[in-house]
Amino acid sequence: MGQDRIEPAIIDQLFAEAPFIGDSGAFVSSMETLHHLYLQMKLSPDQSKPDVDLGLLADGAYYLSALATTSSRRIALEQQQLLTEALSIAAMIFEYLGDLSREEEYQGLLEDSALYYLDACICNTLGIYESNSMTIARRRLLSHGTVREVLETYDSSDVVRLCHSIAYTWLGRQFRSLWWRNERQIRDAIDASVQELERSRVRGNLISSRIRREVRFWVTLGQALLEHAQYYQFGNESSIARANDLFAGAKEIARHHISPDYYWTASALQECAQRMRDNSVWNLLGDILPRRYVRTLVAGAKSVYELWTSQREALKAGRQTSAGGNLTSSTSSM
Amino acid sequence: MARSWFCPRSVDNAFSIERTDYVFIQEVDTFDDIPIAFLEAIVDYFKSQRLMPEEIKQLDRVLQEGKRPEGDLRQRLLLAFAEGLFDENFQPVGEDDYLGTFGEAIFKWIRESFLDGQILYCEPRYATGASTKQGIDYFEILGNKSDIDSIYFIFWEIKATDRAVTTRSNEIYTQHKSRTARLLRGFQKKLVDQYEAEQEATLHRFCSYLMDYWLNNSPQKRLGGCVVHSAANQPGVVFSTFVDHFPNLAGSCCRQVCLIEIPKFGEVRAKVLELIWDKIGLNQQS
Repeated sequence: MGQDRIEPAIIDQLFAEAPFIGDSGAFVSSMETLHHLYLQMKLSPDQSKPDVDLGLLADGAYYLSALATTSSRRIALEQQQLLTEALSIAAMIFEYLGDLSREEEYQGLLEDSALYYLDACICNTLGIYESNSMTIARRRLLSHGTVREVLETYDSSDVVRLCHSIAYTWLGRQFRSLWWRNERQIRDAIDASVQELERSRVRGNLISSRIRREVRFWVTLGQALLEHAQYYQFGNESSIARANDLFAGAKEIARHHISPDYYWTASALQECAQRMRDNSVWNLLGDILPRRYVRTLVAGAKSVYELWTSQREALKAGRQTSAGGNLTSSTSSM
Repeated sequence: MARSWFCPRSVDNAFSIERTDYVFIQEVDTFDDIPIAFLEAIVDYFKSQRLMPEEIKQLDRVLQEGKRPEGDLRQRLLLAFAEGLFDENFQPVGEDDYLGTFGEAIFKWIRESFLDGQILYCEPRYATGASTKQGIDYFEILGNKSDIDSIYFIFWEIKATDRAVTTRSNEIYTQHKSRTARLLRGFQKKLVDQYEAEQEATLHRFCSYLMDYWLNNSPQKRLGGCVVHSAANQPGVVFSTFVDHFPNLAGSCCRQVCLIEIPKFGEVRAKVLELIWDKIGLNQQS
């Protein structure tokens, strides 16, 4: 988890315009209780229902993630240097809720765990906890099927499941799995499903316009992520442009035809894509190292795609001195 | 326009709600007393909600030539009317689904006719099938778009029934309670992006605070319950426990109730479905 202790003063600042949150101490205490439960769930099979207001915590997480993704409100958070705190607290709560919602006793009380985990990954990526995002996404792939596993038993009605798997693979930074190992098969599978969609029939039945639009949303989003993953192969900006066109398409479908929460998801994933491109080795190292060297970083046995916050700061500091330097870390080396 | 057929009537009551009843303007004893123009107006409204203007023109041209829609046009018509009206075999959907679809279309027709000019935004923009939506039946932002203090939003839950109005109010409460902040976050993002800060500064600012209004139970947040019912079942005292279910809303105006009476409700619904089949020229080709 990103942080062990949240200060009530930070909660007060974050929720200054949100009396619904009530006592900041109680909110922090609820988070800590959940945190302990989370550890307990990991360490021991003995689980007890936490005595906390999960609805309040969920409202808090949605509120903070909304602030961080609403242009004018985000600026205010940045000015107070609270953006990272807002996103990391939201991500933590979403992850807790995702874990709890998989338990039988919470079904019906909480939303689907996939929604919470996706939000947790997005908030971690938009904040500075990219590695948390990777961990959550990869865990989700382990429990719900990798792209390869989905393709092995694929039929056209699995297209939304395939697109979810693409999203978690992308958030898990397993780009090579998208651009190389499975790309042709993924594209063929999506094309086949789109053709069926165009005929308005899946498994021989007419499907409603509502479902068609939802499928079209996920397919467009899946294609956007696939294009974005292509960027890491050669650092080609045209992949980013194509991905942005597809993100815009997914947002248009969500804007006009399906529930507004899909719009948030598409917009937030597009923001993640922009941030990931900005932090990519192609963008940060492409003008100071030979491109063939950057290529060995992304295509080597242990691929390095992005620089984490500490690495970016070190790079920035190194560029300001003439001495140069070495940078190593557990996730990347150069 | 629904204004030609209904008359709004505010109902005073002591239950901390704001209630408006829409009463059919003509006396109706038998189904034959119902003007065909009323039924055709409903069908035309359905068409306006499901077909693009150019599709309506194309359809009218085909019908005027004494032909039936075929090929691509026929497929588009079937798909357009599938939601909430016809099933995958192009047979009428079950009575419950159609009842819901009909109720939502009538409600939208009434709102557009009587509040024209006050509605700054609504969703869904077009009436769809009742069972095909997620999260909301109808969402509105109303007020004067140059005065932020006048702007508010309403989440409506809409039901239709042949029985007493009171049979549906609990469902309306339950659905309002099940709405999560996830949906509000989506609305906030979508509407803030839609209303550019420079061109629509007031609406942009209002929508930037949508979640604040929602979670803080501000006066801008309103919940609505609508029941479309048979004129034979006069509503009497209804929604008397709205305030008990939502005590934290900021006042009576935040608990909106809208009741719409339809004379000979069951027969009207059946006739409208028949007219839709007839007016889109598919009645002999299913």
